[in-house]
Amino acid sequence: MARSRTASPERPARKTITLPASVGVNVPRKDGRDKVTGAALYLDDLRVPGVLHGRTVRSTVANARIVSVTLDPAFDWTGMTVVDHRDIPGENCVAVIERDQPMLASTHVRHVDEPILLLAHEDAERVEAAVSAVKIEYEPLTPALNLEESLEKKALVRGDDNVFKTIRIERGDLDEAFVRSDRVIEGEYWCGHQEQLYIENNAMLAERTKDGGIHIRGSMQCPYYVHGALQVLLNLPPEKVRIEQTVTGGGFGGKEDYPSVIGGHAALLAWKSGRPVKIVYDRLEDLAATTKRHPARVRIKTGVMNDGTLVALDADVVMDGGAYLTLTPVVLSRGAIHAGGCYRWDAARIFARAVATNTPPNGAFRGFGAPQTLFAIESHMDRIAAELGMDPLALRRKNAVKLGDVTPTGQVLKESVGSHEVLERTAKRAKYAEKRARYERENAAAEAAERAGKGAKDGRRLRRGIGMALAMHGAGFTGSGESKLNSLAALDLTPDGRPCVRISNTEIGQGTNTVFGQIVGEVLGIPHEQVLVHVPDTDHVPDSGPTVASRTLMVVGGLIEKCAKKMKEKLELFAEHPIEGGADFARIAKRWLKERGPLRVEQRYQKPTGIEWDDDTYQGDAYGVFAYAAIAVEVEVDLDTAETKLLHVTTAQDIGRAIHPVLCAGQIEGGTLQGLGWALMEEVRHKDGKVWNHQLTNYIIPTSADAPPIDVEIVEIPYSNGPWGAKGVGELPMDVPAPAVIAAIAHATGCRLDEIPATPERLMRALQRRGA
Amino acid sequence: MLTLPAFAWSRPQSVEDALAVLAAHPGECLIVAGGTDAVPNLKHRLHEPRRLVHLGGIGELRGIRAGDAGLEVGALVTLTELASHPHVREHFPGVVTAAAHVASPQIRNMGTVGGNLCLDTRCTYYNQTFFWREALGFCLKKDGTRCHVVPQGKRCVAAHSSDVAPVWIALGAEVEIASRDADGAVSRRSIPVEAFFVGDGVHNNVLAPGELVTRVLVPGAAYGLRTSYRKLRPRAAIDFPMLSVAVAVRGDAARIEELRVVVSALGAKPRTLGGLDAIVAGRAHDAALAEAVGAVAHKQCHPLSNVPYDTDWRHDMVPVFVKRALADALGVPA
Amino acid sequence: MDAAALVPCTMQVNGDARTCAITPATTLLEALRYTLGLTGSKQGCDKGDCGACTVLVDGVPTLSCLTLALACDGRAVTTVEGLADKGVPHPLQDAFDRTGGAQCGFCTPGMLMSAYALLQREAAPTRDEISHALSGNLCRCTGYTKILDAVELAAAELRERAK
Repeated sequence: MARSRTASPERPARKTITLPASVGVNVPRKDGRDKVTGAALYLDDLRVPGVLHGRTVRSTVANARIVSVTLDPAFDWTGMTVVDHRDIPGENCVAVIERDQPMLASTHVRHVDEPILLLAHEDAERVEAAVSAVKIEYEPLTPALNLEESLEKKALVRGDDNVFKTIRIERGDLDEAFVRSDRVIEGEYWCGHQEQLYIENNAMLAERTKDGGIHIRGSMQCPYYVHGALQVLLNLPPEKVRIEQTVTGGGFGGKEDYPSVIGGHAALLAWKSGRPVKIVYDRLEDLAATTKRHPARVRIKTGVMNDGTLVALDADVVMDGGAYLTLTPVVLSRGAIHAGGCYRWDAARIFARAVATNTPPNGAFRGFGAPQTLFAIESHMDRIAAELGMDPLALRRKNAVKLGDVTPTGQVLKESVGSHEVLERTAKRAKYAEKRARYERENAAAEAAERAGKGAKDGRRLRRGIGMALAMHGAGFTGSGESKLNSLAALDLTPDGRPCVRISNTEIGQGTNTVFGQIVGEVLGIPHEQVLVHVPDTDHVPDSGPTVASRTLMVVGGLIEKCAKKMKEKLELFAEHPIEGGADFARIAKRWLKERGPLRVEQRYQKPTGIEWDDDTYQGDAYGVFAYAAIAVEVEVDLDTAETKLLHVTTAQDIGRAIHPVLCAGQIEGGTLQGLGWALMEEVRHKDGKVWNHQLTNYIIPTSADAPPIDVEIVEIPYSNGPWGAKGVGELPMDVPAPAVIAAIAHATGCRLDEIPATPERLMRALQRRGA
Repeated sequence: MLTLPAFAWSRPQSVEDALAVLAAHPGECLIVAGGTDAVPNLKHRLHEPRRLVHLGGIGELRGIRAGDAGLEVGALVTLTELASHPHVREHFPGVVTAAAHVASPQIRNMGTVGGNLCLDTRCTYYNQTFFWREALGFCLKKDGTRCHVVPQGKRCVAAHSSDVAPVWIALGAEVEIASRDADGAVSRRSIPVEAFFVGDGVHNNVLAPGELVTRVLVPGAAYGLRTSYRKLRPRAAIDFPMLSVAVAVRGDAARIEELRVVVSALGAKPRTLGGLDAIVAGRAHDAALAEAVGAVAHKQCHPLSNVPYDTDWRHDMVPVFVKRALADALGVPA
Repeated sequence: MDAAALVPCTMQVNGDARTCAITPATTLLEALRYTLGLTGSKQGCDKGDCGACTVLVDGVPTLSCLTLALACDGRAVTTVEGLADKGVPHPLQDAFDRTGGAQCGFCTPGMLMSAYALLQREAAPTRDEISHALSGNLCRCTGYTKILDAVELAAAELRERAK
């Protein structure tokens, strides 16, 4: 794909030049070669002379006073660095939103696997053996181990009511709306923990620097989060803390705030020992101790008209935040804002609470609260459709938001509203209506045949179904969040004249580095390969905000686009002619460097005009824009085993503009399978607050043999404030698979599950209750 | 990284040498072939041997010999080799299915027939890290005295988890065990695979310390049997069985002469269903017969919570899988 | 030989004879990563459930985290670092790169080794056969779609070259 440009009026006509175009092109990944050759260096691949191996001694009880911590005198502690809370130079906390979470427990533990002591030694085996030689005596206290026990105040984990945060969203006259409704339909929906399951476990390396500071390298999404937390922990000024991201093997939110914990631990050990310290979790520790998706219970009461018009929404959301606050208020926020789904409501009340339990703190996982409430509202839509005898697609068509509609927070959807587009394209591409009718026919025929003793040849009683779901997902930080982040991005020239992107957003597999090369390349009219993206290192990049909330491309990409335009303007003014390609750029850049010295341009986030949000009333424009997704999932259920097989998945997603269609589709495919895994097989089980299934043997995610074909259609309805119209794509795909699976199972069996995962055991009980 | 406990290393080149090493270090050795079961358990400190005896160098334990007199499968034959052997594929499809359903392709490449037979039993309270087990006060199978599955239980109920063993039992196969007599000579004995297993989750086979499984022998009489295997597991790959059923039938759908059904992954040893001949002998396979066999299975098999899956559901799955495996073996509708 | 003593182990790694001195309680993964400096093979779970450590031993896909290094003495080991031919990526590596089969890249080395072995034994695998061959390699980023596309693409490329 090429663009061409002609001369400016002041200069004589030049021949038409074709400039390289990158946006919309599937350019090779910047990090592709290194990753496929095994050359990419993840944290544990780094060879660090003199490194000590660090390990964490953790609580084995869910709620207790620590009576004593004793180092077994029979163990040889020579050469062992031992760190406890008393060794913390600054404040003993993991500074995220609040400072309630200790970096190391001192007097109490509030969840199993809470870190108490840190150990480091040259010999990895010795330090592992040393963990067993730490004897901790507890005075156990009654724990509150799930959200119900927390609401009942079985134990007080937070304040006097266990509530981390309450959010109320109210719009319209709810009572009147219910009175006006033909029917009132209620439901209660549950979803549990989900582990992000990045294939690279959490890993960090810390070293004291010669100037009395600390240097941390590791697997992370948000270097500046770690930067902030370490200043507080070690009582250091910002310039003495250096955080550098290494090649990161997946994050999905699991490396958003957790790196501050493991980074803090590595730092404390390095601080005390004076040696570099590496902490690399094994899978069991990572599964047991790190943050997970917040479990949620969502009660929905809706008033609807007989013709399917949605009138009133009354939603009660409770999320389990675990023992400490971490990011919970923001997760709850996003969950609450999305609880109304992709629909128009005359009146809505969303009452959302996040409560504390004596379990490991939960945190960010792709979707960040929205998948939970969207699971509920989408499942509820199917319930409404069933009660009204309406096709679920027809119900969605009738009520899905359109341009100009207003959300429960009072936001007018002013542009880029792809709801109907994705719904129709999905339905068409999946042949939804045809399949729905066909599966119903086939299921009825199968049932009749079985009753007549003439069932399938192999004796199995199979039922097929197709289910759909629709969602909208706000891109970027909620409300005033982006303003508070106050992101700053920079672009400068390297000594050899190449443009270098300086941002704190991290490449974690999604293709950030590649896409930023494309953006800058496109604006400057140079090959994307010529653009460098600096390693996210707080010594060398400004704080452009975290790599979360589907904001990297839309928000930070927008900042970098502006930086590139500024750089182009400066260089073209200097050169007195338009930049004509990569070689020309290099020439001009080098001349600038020679004559004028360094060149650096910056762009700070500016809130787009027309976006107003009130944090107190929770009203206004929650997000700059929403992205939209619809999905159709086809399943086959074996009635005798209640096993569900995924046959096919079709999804259309409106993400504004695909800067790199392959990477974009990759996000959709990957997120979809994560949602399918959550729907069918992923479950964290506890025993007395202890994670029971903390191995990949028993916390299971889909293998290639479990994955269905995933057919993706990218829809582009551009957003005026996104680079080339791009909206966020990272989280959106997570919002729709789970309710669509439940809907498909319901279509296939007549059995509606209100809880995921829809394991065969759960489905079988439901089928038996129904008398299948 | 999960570390391994320190151990000394022996890699004997013959069965005789292997037995000699075991005799020279009584009670201290762990035998390892493919390592797919032993190594993860070592990492969990479920075994802490002073010496590892690696069998990989023993050529005489490799190879499959097939003839009219039966099948001789060396203990070091890998599951991939077993599942792809033409003679096995032609005559014992149940064995092929079972071997092909073990874990993942990589584990099938590494795992051996002998290892699969001697697979350690599994339980949610056992296959955990040292710290997890310590926090619970350990258990009857390892380091403790209490069973967490059956609170007052005196016998360990950890589950048998081999996929291929149930099929060997259904075929009436034997396992050859080599041991060292007082003079240091190798003596071999064969016992039915069925008798190889005992209902004790702590150590669920009769192999005494110092003994070695050398071959599995499928008798010529097995050639008349139609075999099948069905495995219930959460995903389409990798997972251990939640339930497995092996079937061997003599006869055909029109007339069943003999039926053996082995149900496994529920308790410490595979259970061969009893009293089937009375129901099936001389009869044709039909829905009623299948139901009756399923009912026997449901009655005789009782899953426990040794693995983290719902016991009621697993129990209900027993007749379903038995009926399906029976139909598979006969090549008929279930 | 006693537990703490270092024992020599010589393997043909990616075509080169490599000798290292290790304790018996050393897995092949540890020997490759920490003694021989070949960090391409990864530790994802360290107990055989994820496949990130997959290498070829005598051409056969093997979990190096469960393989004892001394058991590979005298044998040939191929890792991801051995796939390229004098710096020219193997068609599989190229295909993964082109189709988007590698996102975070952590599962990629193991995935490539399983795929490589598949294509050695089967020149025209079906999508199902590919899926089956890779069923012991977990990926969390891609949903597997583009990984399967990559193997199909590479298989086609290799068949073309063979003509």
